[in-house]
Amino acid sequence: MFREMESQVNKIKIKNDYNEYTGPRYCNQGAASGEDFYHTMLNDAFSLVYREGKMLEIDLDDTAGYLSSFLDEAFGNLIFDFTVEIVKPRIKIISTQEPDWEAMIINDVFQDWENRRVSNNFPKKTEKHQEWFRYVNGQLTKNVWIQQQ
Amino acid sequence: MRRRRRAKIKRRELNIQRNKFNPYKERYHKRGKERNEEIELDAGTNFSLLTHPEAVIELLHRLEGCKKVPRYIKRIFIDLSHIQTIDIDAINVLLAKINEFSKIKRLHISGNMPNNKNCRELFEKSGFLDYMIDLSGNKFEKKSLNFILSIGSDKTLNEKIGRTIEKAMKFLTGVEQKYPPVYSIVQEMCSNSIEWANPYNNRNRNWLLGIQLVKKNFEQVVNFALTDIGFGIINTVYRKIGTKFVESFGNIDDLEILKRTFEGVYGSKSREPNRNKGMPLIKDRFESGYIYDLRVITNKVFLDFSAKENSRIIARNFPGTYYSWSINKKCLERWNPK
Repeated sequence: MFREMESQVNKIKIKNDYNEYTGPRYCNQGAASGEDFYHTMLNDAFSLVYREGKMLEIDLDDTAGYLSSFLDEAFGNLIFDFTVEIVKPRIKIISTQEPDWEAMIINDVFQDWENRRVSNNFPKKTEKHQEWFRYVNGQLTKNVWIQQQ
Repeated sequence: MRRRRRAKIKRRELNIQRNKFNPYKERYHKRGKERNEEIELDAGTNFSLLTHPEAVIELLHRLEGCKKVPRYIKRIFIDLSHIQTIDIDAINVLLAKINEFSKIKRLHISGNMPNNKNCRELFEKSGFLDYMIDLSGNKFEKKSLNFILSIGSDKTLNEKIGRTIEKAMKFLTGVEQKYPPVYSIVQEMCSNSIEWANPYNNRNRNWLLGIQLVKKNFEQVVNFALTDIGFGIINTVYRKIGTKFVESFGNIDDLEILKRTFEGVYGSKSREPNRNKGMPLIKDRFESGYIYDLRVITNKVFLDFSAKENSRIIARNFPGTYYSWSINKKCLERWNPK
């Protein structure tokens, strides 16, 4: 039963799967940015769990630390592309070392970016990205939705 | 024909006269490459940013003024010999300011050390001399584990900052280990600076992260100091016109504006609703006890989070932002009780 449940969850441990020293909000501000994490890892990982009907567990622990803007940009873009209604029940954030990050993402980031999505206030892209998934008219579509500014 | 000949003779006479010895002209001539003069700046007796910020800021302004001196001035000499009180904070900002001159090749900066024994010792151990050479062109001998890390760049240097913090933690715990609250704070400060700095001058960002390892009352303490020479928070915080109007009638001074900035009262300059979480995060890490003795100097404000009675408006404008804070074992225990 436990193994069955386990297989329903895809995991990302940021320290091992992405970068131990996470950076700022935008790609043009430094390496390992929130924008970069979203486009190189989080968007694909979430679209996969959505299609397979699984959960995505993101473990924030054991890195050097985070900027609030890194998490805001990464998880905010996820809400912008998939809506809070789809993301919230399919994502689990592990942050035992700094529990306030989990609270910030769930309580503030999700709501702020949902408002942003509704008001069509598009996020800034500071680098050219490959096509990424977005939930449009009830299905996932891959495209370059926003051009580099 | 005759008139032309006379004009020619007159011109020749004038030329002869102009070629004669002219004392004014001789002096003027020396203003060229051969002239080699020096400006001397006296740091005074009180060189402490936390107790006498005005005196330190005055020296920074005088150094700033030196960028516009005539070309025949080739050297700036900073006289630190009369200093009777000094702190690591003043040394950090002085180094940050001197660092700016590394881009002005025609000006060389030199100086002496404080005569006062205690001040001299603190100065030698601060890490300041790691960036200097002696008169023979050799590097100074390192006398302590303290260091000042130059992180001037248009990008955040994640790994460099992370590893530096890990090394500093070894002083407290005996092993290199991560301390996310301090990493977050330093990165927040640097990324703010990158994002809102003048985009045309962004490549020459000038930050210094000073780390001082000290023993206070049988307790090991790591002091951090981050200096960002630039515009300062008060000059860059975004306030709506309506807010400015209300505040001007409510006797809200710069000190109150800075406090409100840390409380997240104002919106972000980008005007995006999801922004402005960084400054409140710094305050939160202090209130949670993960750091202590947090002090901020920016523009004309000195904000002391630990001793609010010390917070005040200062007479001179600090050209940038200066943060200092400390951590000890208690902070680590509060952060990670396990």
